[in-house]
Amino acid sequence: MKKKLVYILPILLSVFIMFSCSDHTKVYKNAGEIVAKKSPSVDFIKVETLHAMLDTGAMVLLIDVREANEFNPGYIPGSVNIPRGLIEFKIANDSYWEAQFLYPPLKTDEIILICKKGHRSILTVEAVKKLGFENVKVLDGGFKKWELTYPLEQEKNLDQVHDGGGEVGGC
Amino acid sequence: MKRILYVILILIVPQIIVFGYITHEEKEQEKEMKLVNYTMKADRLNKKVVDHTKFEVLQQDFERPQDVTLACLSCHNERHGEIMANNHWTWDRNENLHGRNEMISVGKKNILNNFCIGVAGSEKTCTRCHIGYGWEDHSFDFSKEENIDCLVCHDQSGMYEKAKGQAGRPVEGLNLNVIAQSVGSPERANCGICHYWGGGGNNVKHGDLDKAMNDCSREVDVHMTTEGEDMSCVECHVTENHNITGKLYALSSENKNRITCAQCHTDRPHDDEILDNHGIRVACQTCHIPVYAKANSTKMIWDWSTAGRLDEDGHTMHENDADGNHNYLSIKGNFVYDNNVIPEYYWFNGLADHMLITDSITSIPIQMNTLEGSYNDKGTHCESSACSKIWPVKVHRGKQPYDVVNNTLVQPKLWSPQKGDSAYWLDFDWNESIIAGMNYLDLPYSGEYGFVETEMYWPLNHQVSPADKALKCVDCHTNSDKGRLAELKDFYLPGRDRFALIDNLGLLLLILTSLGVIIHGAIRIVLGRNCIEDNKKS
Repeated sequence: MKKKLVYILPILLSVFIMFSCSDHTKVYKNAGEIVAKKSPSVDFIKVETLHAMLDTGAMVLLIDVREANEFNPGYIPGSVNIPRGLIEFKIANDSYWEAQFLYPPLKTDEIILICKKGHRSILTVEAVKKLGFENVKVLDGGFKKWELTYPLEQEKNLDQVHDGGGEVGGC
Repeated sequence: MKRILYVILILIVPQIIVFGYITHEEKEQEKEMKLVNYTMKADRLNKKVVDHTKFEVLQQDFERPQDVTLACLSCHNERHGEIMANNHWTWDRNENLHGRNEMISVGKKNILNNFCIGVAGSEKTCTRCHIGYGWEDHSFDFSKEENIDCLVCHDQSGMYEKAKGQAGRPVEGLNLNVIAQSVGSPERANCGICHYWGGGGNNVKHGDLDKAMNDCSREVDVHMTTEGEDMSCVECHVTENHNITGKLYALSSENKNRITCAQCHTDRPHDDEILDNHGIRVACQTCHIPVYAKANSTKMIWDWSTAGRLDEDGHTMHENDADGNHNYLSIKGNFVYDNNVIPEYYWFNGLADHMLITDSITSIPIQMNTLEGSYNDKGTHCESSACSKIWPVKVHRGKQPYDVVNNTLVQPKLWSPQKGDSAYWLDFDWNESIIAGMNYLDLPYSGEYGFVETEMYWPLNHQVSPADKALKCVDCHTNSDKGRLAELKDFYLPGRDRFALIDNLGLLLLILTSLGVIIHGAIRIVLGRNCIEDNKKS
């Protein structure tokens, strides 16, 4: 028995050391590193695919996770604005959807997350999936990619945009 | 006890060593940079060689800016000849356009772009960026030396400013006496006042020339950063006798009078042969400008076809995007801006062609300038003095008016000081503005216009990133559709492309080798023999 312990104890100790050095304690240098780490596990959808889906009237929930002041100047038609910081509190909250005159999403519904260029959406996927939503995708390249591909296909809430300037421009 | 120590030593110590090795962050060793023809800022002797405040001719109250020019020329009495031969003065030069085999006059004066389209008919506002006074129309006298504006390039007081819509004349009320005495070698702000603001706003046109570069971090521009070398434009664009080296790739058709990274960094700048060899087919800019428009957004799309929308009271409108950039202007239409933009990549050999206003439209989108080059343009097949390399490019996409009957692009008149002069920006009548613009150029117009998609290509040269921010091997050598060179498909790129036959042969070789080892070992076990022991015994 004593002889066995001689071998088992160091092995247990080494296993302990190995796990104590595992990824759970990894500290990232910047947001880009976290995004790169999370990206491989995320499902992306291209703007062209989304455009085709919307053309055919597919039932899909578009959630734009940018802040309201970024959303109001321009967004993909039909998007709902839930900023990333509020996503857990609103997406599974029936009263929120009632206030929007929308049906609350089912756990199996296809949800597409949109932000400026796709990075914030990647970081939001985990939070949405933790609430049981299974079919969550990220719009590859975000609203900017949509705008660059379909520059005239966007809606605006101009009444909610604060702009003090007059006509500008010219060379 | 001894045995425990042995086991601990054997199991734990290697783990600690491995862990230490993995987590140890190697400190970047300061590598000595290979530099030629350049003196580092720290090693320079900054001694002023002339003090213009002491010149009597500059100690007067100048009534007109032209009087400052005459004062300058009273000492620098041959410089006007150099200036008048300079493209900054002529906005014109004769170039052999690739594929046309004839010399053609090209320049800001007559080349169309897909931003503000062209200067003809609207000179009084566009020539705010001309180094002269008074270019309002065809009647401007390019031989009159007092029309040269020395101050816009040489003012170091920071007070000099050209007026809007005044054909390059300065704003009224300037103290020209103080300004004239401040003159010196051009700094970034002098060049930037026009080159940053091309296309009607900061960083609109180039994408890599931004007012932020007057005082920027290393991440934005490692050369011009005020945290480091603090280089002015003319340190690369070396100038002698007002001949400024380094022509704009988007507007210059011949591969001459260029400047290159190698003129300071040599053509073998890395301590790595493989990286240096990349320089044969990959421009330095490709790896070292991984993104552009780092500090402020640049314009990526300009759609003139939506211009002219007025509000219910008949007033012009403007709408901004989430970052505060224009998204719609009644006078110009819709835009899309972007920042931290990943370039598009093209083969480019330094030659370009241009869509002239007299050319027939043969393909859509129209290429306003065509960058020449291909993978096969190499070695003895080089089309220019330099073989094609992969270049990072900003592509500006637009939609602009054209003549649907004559099938040519058109020049609308955009600007006028008053309504009723057919200027689109005041009267919002495309047909009238095109008639006025084409009449001004004495070119035909059928009277029917439409809007056509265009693309303009801007090879990137500025906003070079620090070495640690340059592209890594896997950014290009990957089969991901997000790989930097995913769209450049006319050549074999290791890591991206594969030949199934060779891959499968390699795999087969690996399997056979492994099987050989297993079978060999199995035979030895079965026979219970060991080569070393057998040899010892023998």
